[in-house]
Amino acid sequence: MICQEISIKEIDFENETFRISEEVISAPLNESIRRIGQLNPVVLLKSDQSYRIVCGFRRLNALRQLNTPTVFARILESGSSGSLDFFDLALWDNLSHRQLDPLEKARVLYKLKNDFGVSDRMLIRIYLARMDLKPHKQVLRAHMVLHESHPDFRGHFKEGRLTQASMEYLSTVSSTSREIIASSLAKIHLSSSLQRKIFRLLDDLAAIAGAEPGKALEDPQVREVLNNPRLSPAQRGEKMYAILYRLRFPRVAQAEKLFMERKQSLGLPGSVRITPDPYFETPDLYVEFNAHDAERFRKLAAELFEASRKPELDRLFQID
Amino acid sequence: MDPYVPERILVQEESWQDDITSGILERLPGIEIRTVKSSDIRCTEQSVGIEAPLQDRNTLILMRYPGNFLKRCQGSGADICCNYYIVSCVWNCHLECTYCVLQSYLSGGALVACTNFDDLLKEVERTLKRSPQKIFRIGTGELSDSLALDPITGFSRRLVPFFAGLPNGYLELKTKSDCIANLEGLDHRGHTVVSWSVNSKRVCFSEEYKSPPLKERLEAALQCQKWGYKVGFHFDPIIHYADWESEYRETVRDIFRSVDPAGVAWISLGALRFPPHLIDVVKKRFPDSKIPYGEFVPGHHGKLRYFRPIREEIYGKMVSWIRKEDLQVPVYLCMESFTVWERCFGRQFCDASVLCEQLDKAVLGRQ
Repeated sequence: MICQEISIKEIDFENETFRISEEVISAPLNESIRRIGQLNPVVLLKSDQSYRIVCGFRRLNALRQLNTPTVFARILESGSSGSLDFFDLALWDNLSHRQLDPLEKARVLYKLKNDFGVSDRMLIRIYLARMDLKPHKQVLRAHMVLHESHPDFRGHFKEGRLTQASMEYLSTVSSTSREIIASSLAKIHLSSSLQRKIFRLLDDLAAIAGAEPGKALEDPQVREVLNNPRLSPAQRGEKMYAILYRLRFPRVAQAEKLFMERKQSLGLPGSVRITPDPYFETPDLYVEFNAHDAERFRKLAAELFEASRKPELDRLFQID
Repeated sequence: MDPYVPERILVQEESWQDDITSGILERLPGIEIRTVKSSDIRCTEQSVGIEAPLQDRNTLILMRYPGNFLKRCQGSGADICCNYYIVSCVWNCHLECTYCVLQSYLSGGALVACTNFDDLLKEVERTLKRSPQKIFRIGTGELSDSLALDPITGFSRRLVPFFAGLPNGYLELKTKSDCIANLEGLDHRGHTVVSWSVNSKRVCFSEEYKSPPLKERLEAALQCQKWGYKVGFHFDPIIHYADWESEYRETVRDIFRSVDPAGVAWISLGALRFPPHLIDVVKKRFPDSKIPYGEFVPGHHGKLRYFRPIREEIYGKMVSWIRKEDLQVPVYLCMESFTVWERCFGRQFCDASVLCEQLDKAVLGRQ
């Protein structure tokens, strides 16, 4: 192995052919190099006028930020191997000391396929397993989608705010819808199950209206919720779901609202729970309360008796 | 309606001994035939067929069905059940209605016809003889259309005379097709009801796109009446959409203008219901279908169905339109809850025995 000191000015930072890291700026690495200097050589590929980075994007960026004039590097000659061998080297180097995140794995697969011409079969058989992924074409497809997704969605995904399934769904919608959804997602926080439900509602509402999936998010009620500064991102997500549900299932939502109003009109304490049959399939009501002593029991039973004499009770059985 | 012509026929090795096989092959000349081993045939309660890659609608499988042919209708779990029996001799259907539960119920796409038809007849006869006082209404249209394949199988020419000889057996041939030619001239003795699944013209056109239009179904019904058969109509599935009222009202009118009301044995009503995973199948197979976008909720039997007030509105209006045309014809709901029955017909009719009696009378009364 030949290692030598290279002037940092000779390195082509613009060429990212062999880049795997999603982030090339690392504060801890910067701090480490500032304190103790470069410990391990980076790997550079000699080209006509400059050097291309094979391994060490983050270290080199740190060294550049610290205005270090020279770097310690192992130099590869371009004639010694094909480009794919150099990329493989970069991949093994990364895998040897850290776990790649999903976006980085997606970047690797995308580059292997599109920049180095590796076949799907080889990607599935060799590279998926190498990166601890299941060797299946669906896994490959999902990662291609991930790499090509909207930058905002990639950001949400990296922060754990969008699931892989959501990323796949979002890859199927038009660019107009993607913009609308991306701007909405920036304002809310959704659990994975709520993501699934909301995207399904958006799809259904789009099919019903013959419109784009993003259209429903332009509803004035939705906009009002999204722009309400008093709500937390999670609250906005819940409320947005409730509005979309009402738009998709207007009669069910109306029945639920009526039931709540009529139940409240009975004036029962909160410890008495009255619930309808699921989706009002029958007029049956389930009444439940708990009492820790006889006195409490008598009090609640008396309140129920009082409620039973109110005409509002009849209306509670007439939800349709 | 385009006749079903398979690209290939797979014959189970034992089925070569059966008359049914030679009859079917004679009616389908020039088609590739392969013999398959019994071990290649997959046959369970939920699925009849053969392993991929030959599992598609272009494949017709002729095989001996090893299970019980006669079963109680799955509606027997409903609050009010009409006590119907089903007998299966064909599995799957080439009509490919967008909402069809067979897309998910039968895992394979190939059409299957049983060749051990004598076993079927013996089983039916045995069962009916065991309960001579009981009226059995038995249909063949549960896992396939009763008549769509009849030009190929000729099953109706065996079934109709067979039921004519059963004192307590009544056959219902349930279809969307116009394949009635085999019914002409049969000695049915009033023991066969030929019934049509009907819908609004729009639904017939868009969701039952391979089936004949409503007009042709009603013309076929009238022809059957002329041959002395009682006919029935099943509004099933009823689809709820923006213009459903005017369009279903029109279908009710068309029925009573096309056939003699006195010769209508029954009319059933059933709003669309289906297993939840069928929604994704329909979206994928028929992206233009609006069916998945109804206001469905999970029901007690694990199926999705329209929200109850929507169903009540549908049934209430349908019953009133039918009653404006005819006061006598039995009308019943399929797979519905006690609550819905009561709200549509009143409490006095919310009794399975009343329903069964009504339907039994419908087949007995006009012999």
